[in-house]
Amino acid sequence: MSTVYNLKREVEKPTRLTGGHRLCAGCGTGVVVSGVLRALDREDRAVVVNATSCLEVSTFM
Amino acid sequence: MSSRLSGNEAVAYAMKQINPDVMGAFPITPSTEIPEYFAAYVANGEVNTEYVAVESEHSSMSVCIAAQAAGARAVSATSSCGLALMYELLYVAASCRLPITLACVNRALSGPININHDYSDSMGARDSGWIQIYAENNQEAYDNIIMAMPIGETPNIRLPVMSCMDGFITSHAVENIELLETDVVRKFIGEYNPEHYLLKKENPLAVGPYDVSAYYMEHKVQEAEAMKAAKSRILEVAAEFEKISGRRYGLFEEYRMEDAQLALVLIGSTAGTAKAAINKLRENGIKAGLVKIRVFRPFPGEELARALAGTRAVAVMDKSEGFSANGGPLFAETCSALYDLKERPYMINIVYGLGGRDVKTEDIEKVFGRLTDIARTGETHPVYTHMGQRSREEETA
Repeated sequence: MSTVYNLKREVEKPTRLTGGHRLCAGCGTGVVVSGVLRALDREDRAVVVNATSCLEVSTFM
Repeated sequence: MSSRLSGNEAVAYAMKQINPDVMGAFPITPSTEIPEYFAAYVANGEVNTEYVAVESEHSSMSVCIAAQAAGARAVSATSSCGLALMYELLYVAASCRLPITLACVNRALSGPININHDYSDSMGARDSGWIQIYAENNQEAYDNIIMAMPIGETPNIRLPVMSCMDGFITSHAVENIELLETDVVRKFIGEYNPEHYLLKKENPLAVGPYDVSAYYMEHKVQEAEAMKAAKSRILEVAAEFEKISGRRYGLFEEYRMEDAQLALVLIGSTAGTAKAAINKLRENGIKAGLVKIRVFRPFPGEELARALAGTRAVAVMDKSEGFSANGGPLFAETCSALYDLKERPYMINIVYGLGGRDVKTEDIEKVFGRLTDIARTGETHPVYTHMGQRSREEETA
């Protein structure tokens, strides 16, 4: 994983958060999660852990 | 190999022989010694376990859930308020079908705060989906921990196992004990190879996601089916264990029940006291017997009904008060189990020993005295009483 942050490179990565989540229109959570998941490189495998919340309810099913 | 160990040390030693991948534990009397002894094994390099020191029991069970979900074997130990603080996670562990092993050293649950033995802690968790196995003494506490993983990890069961022993009475009393050789224990436990786990990269999965109404019930039914299947698996594992130890276990122990007309049903170390009382009563020609419940979840209802079918009067002794105003939890289960018998014995409930209140052989003899009267007169009123309290006006046993 590169240690130097480069916004252009990060936003060019494919999003890891699958489309079709059911968060409310306008909710910032989806954008934040997509941004956080861009910290992963394409070949990385990760276990994502989060507390019970809208995010959990709206993104698993 | 003969030794002399307290119940806590016996359990810690069994865990050392098992060499689990992870222990998440937080100290609480009277279970504190288990993680204490185990931390020493870790510090001395005697096990490969990752010991996670946490800030609460909510976290210790969370650690176990995470570790087991990742594909590891996890163990913990707790008592009383510690178990209560795990309460939410107990359900998560069971419903995620994670076969964690928890040593529960039974202690009264607040309040008033009390550190001594009764079953108010684990009885409160009886509907959480955990298998519950209770020990009478140190030997059983040791043996039950060794049998826990082969039971819980079975593919069609995959449920966590709570291995319970009586706080202080069993956990702190030093008794002679027969230990197995470590290589025998390791072979008995085997490798843990779960079909699904978080770190299996070929098969990404979600553990513990939201379950919508369209699927939730199916998962709860699967959990219920697993608990039903556990009964036969517990007996299979007991039979395998007998081969390596020479010690025989069932869903419950029947003591002098072959021709018993009067019987007790109870759990744990009180069985030793009851056996002594029964031996004395038998010398006087009273056909007294005992059923000591070992496995409370799954509850051995059909088997218990068969064991009690020939009796005239039964006293179910609950060492926890369920506040149902209708008797303790063991009484409710036993009555339910016996309902379909064509000829049921008379049944009463004695709640006793709360918060470590002592129970003596004379107390047990008094209970049999009452059963003798009931068998003669058929008069069971009052069905549900407390024994051993200071105010004896309401005491009928």
